[in-house]
Amino acid sequence: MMATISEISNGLDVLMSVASCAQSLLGPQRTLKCIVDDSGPEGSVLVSTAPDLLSNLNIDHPVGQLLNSACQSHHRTYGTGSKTLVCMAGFLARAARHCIHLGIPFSAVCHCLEEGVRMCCEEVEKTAIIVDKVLCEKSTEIVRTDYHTKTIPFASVQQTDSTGTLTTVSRQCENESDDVDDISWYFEPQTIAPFSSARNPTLHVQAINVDASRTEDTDSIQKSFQQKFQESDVLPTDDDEEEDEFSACFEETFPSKSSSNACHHGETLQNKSVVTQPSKKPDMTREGFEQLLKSKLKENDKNRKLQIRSRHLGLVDFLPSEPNPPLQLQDLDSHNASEKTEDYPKQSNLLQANETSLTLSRLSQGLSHGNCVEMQLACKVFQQILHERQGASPGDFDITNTCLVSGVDHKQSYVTDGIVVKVGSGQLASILQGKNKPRKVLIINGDITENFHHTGYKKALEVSSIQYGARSYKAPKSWLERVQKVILDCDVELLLAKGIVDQDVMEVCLSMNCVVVQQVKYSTLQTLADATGAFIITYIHNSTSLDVGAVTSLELLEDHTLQSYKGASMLMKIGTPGQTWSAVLCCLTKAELHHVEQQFWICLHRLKNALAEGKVLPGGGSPELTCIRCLRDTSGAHHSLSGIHPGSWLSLSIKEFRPVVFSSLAESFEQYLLSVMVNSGRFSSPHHARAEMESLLKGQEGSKASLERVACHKQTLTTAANADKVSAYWTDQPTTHTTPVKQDDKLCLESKVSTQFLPVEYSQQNADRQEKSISEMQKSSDCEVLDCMCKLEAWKSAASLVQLVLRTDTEIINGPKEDFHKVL
Amino acid sequence: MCQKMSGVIPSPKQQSTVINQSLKDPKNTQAVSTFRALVQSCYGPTGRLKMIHNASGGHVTSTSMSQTLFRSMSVSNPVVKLIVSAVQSHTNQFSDGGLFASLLCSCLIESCLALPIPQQAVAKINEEMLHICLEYLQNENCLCKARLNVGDATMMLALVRSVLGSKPALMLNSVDLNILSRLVLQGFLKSIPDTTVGTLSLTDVEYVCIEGCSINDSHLVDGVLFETPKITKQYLGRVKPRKVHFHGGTETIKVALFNTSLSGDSDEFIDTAYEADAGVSGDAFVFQHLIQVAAHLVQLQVGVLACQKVVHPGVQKYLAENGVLTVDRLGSLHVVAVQRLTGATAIGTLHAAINEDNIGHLHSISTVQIQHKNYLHLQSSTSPVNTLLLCNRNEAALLEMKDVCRTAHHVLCQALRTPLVLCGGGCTETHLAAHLRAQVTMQEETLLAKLGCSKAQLHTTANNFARCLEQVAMALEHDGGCHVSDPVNHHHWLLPPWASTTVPAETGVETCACGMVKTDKIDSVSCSPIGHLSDQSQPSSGSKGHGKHCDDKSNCSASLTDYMDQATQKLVESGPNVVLDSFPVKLNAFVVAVETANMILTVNRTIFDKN
Repeated sequence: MMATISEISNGLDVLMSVASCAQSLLGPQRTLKCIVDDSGPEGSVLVSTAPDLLSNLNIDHPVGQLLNSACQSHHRTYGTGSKTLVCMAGFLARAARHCIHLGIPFSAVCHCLEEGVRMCCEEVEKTAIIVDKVLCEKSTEIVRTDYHTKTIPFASVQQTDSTGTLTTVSRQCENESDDVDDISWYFEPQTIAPFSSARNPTLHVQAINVDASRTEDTDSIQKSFQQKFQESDVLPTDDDEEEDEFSACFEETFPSKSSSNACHHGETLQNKSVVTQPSKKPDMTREGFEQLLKSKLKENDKNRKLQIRSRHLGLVDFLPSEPNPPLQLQDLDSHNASEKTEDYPKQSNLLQANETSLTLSRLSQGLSHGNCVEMQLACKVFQQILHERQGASPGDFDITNTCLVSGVDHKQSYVTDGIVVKVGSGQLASILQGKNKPRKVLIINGDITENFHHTGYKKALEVSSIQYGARSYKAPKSWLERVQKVILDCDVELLLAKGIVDQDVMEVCLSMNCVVVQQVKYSTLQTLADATGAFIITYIHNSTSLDVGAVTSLELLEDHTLQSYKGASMLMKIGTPGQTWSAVLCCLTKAELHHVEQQFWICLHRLKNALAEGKVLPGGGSPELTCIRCLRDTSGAHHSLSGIHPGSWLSLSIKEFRPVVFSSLAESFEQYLLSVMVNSGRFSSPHHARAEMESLLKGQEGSKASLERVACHKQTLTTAANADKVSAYWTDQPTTHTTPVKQDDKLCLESKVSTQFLPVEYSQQNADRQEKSISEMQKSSDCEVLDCMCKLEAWKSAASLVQLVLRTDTEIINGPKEDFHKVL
Repeated sequence: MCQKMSGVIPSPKQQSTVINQSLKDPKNTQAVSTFRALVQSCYGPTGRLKMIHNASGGHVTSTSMSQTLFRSMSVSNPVVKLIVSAVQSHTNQFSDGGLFASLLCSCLIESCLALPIPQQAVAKINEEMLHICLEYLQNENCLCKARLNVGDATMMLALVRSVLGSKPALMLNSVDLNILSRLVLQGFLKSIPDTTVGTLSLTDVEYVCIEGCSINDSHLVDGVLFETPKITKQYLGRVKPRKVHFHGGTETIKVALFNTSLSGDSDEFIDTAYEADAGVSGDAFVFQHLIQVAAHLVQLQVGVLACQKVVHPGVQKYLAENGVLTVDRLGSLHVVAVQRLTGATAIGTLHAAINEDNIGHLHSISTVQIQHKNYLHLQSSTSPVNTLLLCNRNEAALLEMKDVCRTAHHVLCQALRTPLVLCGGGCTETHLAAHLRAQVTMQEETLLAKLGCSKAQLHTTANNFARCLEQVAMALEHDGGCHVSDPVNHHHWLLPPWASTTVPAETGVETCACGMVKTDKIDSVSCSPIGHLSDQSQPSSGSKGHGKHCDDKSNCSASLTDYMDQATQKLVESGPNVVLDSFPVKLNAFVVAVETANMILTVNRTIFDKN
């Protein structure tokens, strides 16, 4: 063995090329990657996340391995944001390489790189928006009533004296159910009435939006306004309740049912724990629904505009910006809006709680970034947990499990209480036996076979048997008998094992009506153990009645009977005394399964991160734009020099290098933004995208001077305004605005007001939630938000990775070969 | 290797082939020069990292520390092997200073081999040079040495910061550096036993690495913390370790500590043929025996069973039913910490009776969740053991951080024994080089008489020695700056590469590399560049110049002792920025480097035996 030393000059290049693989995964309009593996049993796999991609790529180069490990570790910690990390690492590597080529000492590059990214993070953190505390505290007091009244979709003038009781709300719902397709009632009196007034902010923004997004005549504002709202029909709903989307849809759209329970907004609290299964749907309703669906689709085609939604760019118009909007923003003033809110009465606690869900769904909407189905599921889980735990920290979702089903449409995924596991179809009889009665459960961490040994067990003590004389001895009980005795004695009716179960044991269990579930994930076992009070044991034969836990019910989810080469299997729901939740994730092909599960967890993590931090970042590329702006404005970099010893000449000359490094850094953020823009498919070329970005940056810089211009851009690229818009969306109070963005009040107001229609839009979607296709769902997330920590940490990790590579000059390979020229 | 493979008959011993290789063989010189370049590029706060991995893939180690570097690198060249093993024995003893020793050593070998002087004579002169240096360094009046006030947190911090700051793989900025230095110092102070009976142990500070969060999240906790995936909060809630009342009424949890496997396999039994009645099964017998041991522990009212290896799940279950928490798979590292924490004696066999003396005590046991992982937190009210939770985003940096913190802790321990420090930043080296040149000029006659060599030989070798020292100082910087030394204090100054003058004040540099000498103190004195590969005729004039300045010591105004006094009294504003090296570490590294170089220089031939 000897060490071979070779120079690493291309570490940065490796980083760039590996990272470039992940570039197409950025943004909601990303493309999946198909990893073809003929040798593996799984076959080809579709991946959409950076950790999956990198672990499937066989990277020999040590730098690639470092990137992979950084990515995996980020993913483990935050659950999301690893794509940002990988791509940023690539772009930062490019920036660093550029600086090195310019002859800047690498220590200075490292230092400025770190300094620049830190400065960006600080700047971006300032733009963070505080997530409404209601979510976290969930107090019964009436907090921020103004906010709630404004965002409640059903809040109308009629409700002035209402206390939010059920009767009032159901009256509204009846109103709604009278006319399924007519949505005009939505805008009355809140939205439609002010339509005639040019001073009304809602209208104003709306008009601008439409104008900017329409390509033809400005005369048709009214028409397009209507169209826009109609289009919003098909946008996804935020489900502020845990009920299945199917049921909500049917309940809302059909008069026959609606009078009793269509008022789901008001009823949320009572319904919290009800989980409707899709299988229970009457066919009649479904037929009716299909008709509705068709009509909606038709309408939808007519009104579709050339818009696309990107995680980073918000609403992006296909065509460049329009001339100035006809309406003057200067007309706006904040009094209008605030007076309006004061008119609203205080709502009851009932609606208050409802609002929590609504806010949560809205948050999730913003965080969905295109994965609407998964996000809705994640959101439901969160609502459940929040509801159950009444003030417990929302960050805890270790009671959630996922169960994967392939061959079923993606949209059939749902969330249910209990734990859903796959069982073999042979267990059907045992499950049906006393279907809903409590059972005793035994949880085994390992195989249930005779020769199974725990990990760490090496070699059995070998004893050779000797029989002395003819004396007969009592043969010990066979293993199977002991197992049988345990099952009998403990009255076990449900047996879960992490590994496989012996066929004989299966038969024994079958004869005793004991349901056996094998190959369950350890995390599921642990959740079940915590929820049922069972102990996880390793060997079944020495378990006692103390180890047994109790489950409340076993239920077959009959919808999903799966055929596989192992035989048919079904989904079984285990009801537990403690709170547990399961997400049944469906998708059409097996290759997608992993992707869907990943997306679900990513959504859950995003929500958790946002709630745990209590703040979110405005999305739509806004953080990157902030960074580019502050990096270009290097004069503002007054961060004290640190890290370099004052005795070194570098501390003196760093100020010479800083502008160069910073501009390269800005370039890497631009590259990031551009690749997202290009991924969105809206731009014919990178140059086109860059032109858009530059004009946006200019607009942002001179926001006061070119207010109209910004406003004009606001629709085409919802970035500049997005910051304020989103913040207004959450805080809803221009005076207590938490974002010290330089943009002026007018813009804030404008954006704030623009959110007024959002609830309408959102609730409107409840009427026809089934119609949404993914792309349409994306449109609805008008206020993209990002989880703050995750994004910034990804940047910092990327920067530290690039620094690591930058600081490395030599690769030492230990091996038997002697073919390198420098050998120690 | 071959013998281990079953079925392969070991090949008969090959006939010895003796390859006769002179030390000046290009293979050797090239290897030494590669090695020198390797350690040189690692050296200093802006040093470059090395990625080490196996040719067949595997984990990538990214490091700049000599310890990690030499541990993970396999070396075959005999000369380099000698250097590496010498340096490793130094780092085993002192942790720090490995790169300094290897750099100086390889510099000396490389340059001395190039000298047109017999190697024996060079080695002899080098020996004398070392003697002169040591004499000066150990002298009370040494200007670059000072006594460290261990009660002074600023200076202790400066020492820690110098150790941590010289490790580029940590990728610390100054804020992080301060945080980490403070934590290491705190951990060190906590690990000092309160009573006079206790001993200072390096293992008293445990390090737990948490990946994926920023360095700011690092913190210090009392007791021991380790990852236990299966002992969750819920589990601990259900299996509560039994508490007993210790004498004096204080509640305590008794801990039995095993460093043997309790997994129920044949490991703990003599490997022989057993015969038994047909009804006896080996597994059942071993399990029964384990249960007996467990029952004895229950009888002793033990609350926690800690085991280095695996504990049979059946035994765990039995113990859990009897109020004993089992903590298995501790690993050799944590076992030592748990032992120090609880005061238990590690039980190495299952066949001897367990006494009350073997049992340790714990104050509390709890679970902590960090980054979605479960950690068990053991605390004792009497033990100084504490755990430093190190956080970093980067796995490579994290592993390095753990080693560096251990090194810094070791350096602090040594500072307690020998509270002396030297100027860092290469100032000691340049100062020493200047002193050496002056001394050689002054004591020329006596030295010549003593060594019996020619005047030219003495001057050339001495100058070479001094230049090697200066080269080490220069290796601290990797961005192409100018290295100069001022004629008054002979400290090391780093000037910009484009500087047109050698006057530090004119280039804007404020202090010397160690931060002790300020620009205003040396006025506008022109400094002389150091470490130049000057041609062999030059050195005599150079040494004269140096000798002139060092002749009267009163000129060398700045002494580290004075500076330290000022810093403690007046709080010199740049106080925290001073770079300090631990005296015992540097001294030993210096001696090891020169002695090893001399030893290698006297080697004439290397002989390989291919067996």
